[in-house]
Amino acid sequence: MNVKTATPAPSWYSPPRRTRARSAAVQRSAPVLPLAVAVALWVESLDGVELDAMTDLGLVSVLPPEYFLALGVLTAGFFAAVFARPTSERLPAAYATALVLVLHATPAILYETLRYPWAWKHVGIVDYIQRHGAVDTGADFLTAYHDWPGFFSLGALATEATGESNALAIASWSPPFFELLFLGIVVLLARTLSSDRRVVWTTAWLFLVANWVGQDYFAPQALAYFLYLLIVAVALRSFTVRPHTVLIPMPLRFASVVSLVRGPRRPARSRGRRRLRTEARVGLAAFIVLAGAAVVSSHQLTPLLLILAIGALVHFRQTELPGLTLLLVVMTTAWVALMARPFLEGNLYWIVDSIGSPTGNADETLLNLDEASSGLVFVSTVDRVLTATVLALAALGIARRIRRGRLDASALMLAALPGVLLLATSYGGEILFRIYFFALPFLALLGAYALFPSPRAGGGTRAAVLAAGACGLLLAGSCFAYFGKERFHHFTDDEVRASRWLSDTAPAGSLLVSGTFDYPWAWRNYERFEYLALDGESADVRRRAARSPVETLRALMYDDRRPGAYLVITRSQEARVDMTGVMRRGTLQRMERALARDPAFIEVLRGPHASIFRLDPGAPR
Amino acid sequence: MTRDWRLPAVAIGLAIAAGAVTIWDSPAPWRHAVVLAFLAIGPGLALVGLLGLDDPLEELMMIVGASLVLDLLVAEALVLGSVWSADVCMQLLMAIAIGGAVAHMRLVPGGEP
Repeated sequence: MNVKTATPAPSWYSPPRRTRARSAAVQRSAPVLPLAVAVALWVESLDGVELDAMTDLGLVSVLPPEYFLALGVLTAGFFAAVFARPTSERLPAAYATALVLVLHATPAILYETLRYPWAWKHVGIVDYIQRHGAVDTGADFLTAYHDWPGFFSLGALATEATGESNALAIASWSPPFFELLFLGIVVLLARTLSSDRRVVWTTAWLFLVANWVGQDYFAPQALAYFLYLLIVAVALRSFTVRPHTVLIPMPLRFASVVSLVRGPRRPARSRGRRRLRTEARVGLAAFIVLAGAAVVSSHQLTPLLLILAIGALVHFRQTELPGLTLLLVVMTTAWVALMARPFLEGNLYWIVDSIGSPTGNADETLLNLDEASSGLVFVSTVDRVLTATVLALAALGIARRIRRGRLDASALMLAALPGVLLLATSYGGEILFRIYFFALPFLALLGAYALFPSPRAGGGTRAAVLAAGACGLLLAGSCFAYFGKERFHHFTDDEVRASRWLSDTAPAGSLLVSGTFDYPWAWRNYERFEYLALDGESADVRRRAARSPVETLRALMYDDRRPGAYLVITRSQEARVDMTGVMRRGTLQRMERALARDPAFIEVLRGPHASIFRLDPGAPR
Repeated sequence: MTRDWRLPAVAIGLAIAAGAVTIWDSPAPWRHAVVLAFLAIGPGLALVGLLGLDDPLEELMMIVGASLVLDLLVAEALVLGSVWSADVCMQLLMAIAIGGAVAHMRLVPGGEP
């Protein structure tokens, strides 16, 4: 038998031109291959997903293995691209873009309707502007949206200019749109704060996989967040005074670190400072002021954080925009005093109450898991572990950098500052989510430093595998955390049809009662109705509603001055009640059956996923 | 992206295309694509080009950021003034985009700065 053995080619050997070209083509296309495979797997995974079979674990419970395989291939391919030689910026960018689409375009493709009940309310404000051509700053309900109308005005513009009758189509695609903007700005910020491209791209990936709080839907905070990060990026890039990373003197002394971070009294020329023409700096400063005005007039919380961030960066000489903090304070105060006074007057009591009570503010955010279903307990545990892991990674990154004599002053400041909000407001029970969201880009950067604390550390395959493994685990957790509440964040056609019928049919001034607000509500003619959700009532009312629904609902709904009172119960509300335990499991289903038997309630609409009852005020008790 | 004639040309092209699909009430996919592309980058395109930023990602983020800020402020001013009209709003934004492009061509006559 003739056996050929492989012998190394002599140094003078040059392969034929065709072979060389082929091998170069293979080398070039090799990193792209996983991307193509991942996208193909994702597209394949979207076919035939049975949304009706969803369990309390959310969308994850019905997505096929191909979907998760696509995420795994993307993660592996991404880190292979980050560590590949020669380096390319386009390839990691393409992988990160694909991750955004796989994570955030999936619901828009799978669901026939807009996801998340709060997004429907925001569509309702756009609908109001479209019908009235104005806002009502003194509105009784959803006052904040009328008093900060910037985002909704933009929504009305996009809706009407595209020829749509409502903002539903645009709102459905908001999550991938905003996540792509977040990706771009996080890469820009990471590039500003670190020159190590492994850190830059790992930051971007960590941000994407750890951003489970879902603040990317059709909402003012998503746009305000992008503008906040953009303003910070411009301030750090174009108005730098000192390097964003400082060398720590050894032996370490607190006073010396403070003096280093603060810097000398006069601004020092630094390596981080860019040479921009005066006109360009004026243009960028003008942009910051205009973007600040857009933030101030669109959202309540973001201006506070913007003032804190710019104030701290100026104070610690990370940026040289000394008048900007004052200008932002003046703009915010003027807006609240002139435009948002009705909101302030109606909400001052809880705003004042929540000042200086951090534990109370934090407790309001956390879901009470005592009565929750096992699926929701698992999902909530995963999101808490995910958050704790990101914090631990960031802490490790800070420690590893300090060991190498580096303090990432700007990143540390911007990661820590949102925590101050805990002292100031509960923000309607959402403050912990918002703090995490605002800190996340900088936590992700510090977390990336845990893997690559210096340009010389972690250059080999082992580091790439470790980074991919850590991010892969976080991504797995993120799938549960981000998609875990889809049983009540997703609505069927039938639920939307019922909601449309109600808002088109009920006489103006009617009371619309529901089990919870987890249904498409307040999105058409919203100002014509009053709204009440049973889960927002006192524990006593909820108990009575579960025990004797007919009497309790009749008492809640009856008012002879009203032209009508309706109760709407949907599958999504039932899912919310059964999963969170806010009322006894099966309460809404029992309520539906009891009302159907009682002559005081007329069933005016019944579908597979929604029922609507009208209270007949004249019926015998 | 560099400071040359391409940015103002794209800004003017997008503004004209957005105006055309709106006036002729083009079918949904085309109208959506053109109008949303204009709103996302049109008003800020030429203006940001004037700044001469050297990082393409920074320039892109600034273009999108400036465009959304201008869209928002113009729309909000019309809403708060109770004179809301999407057509007027689009015309104002087109004027900003074209005005920025003209300024760009006058101030940056050609090629690299």
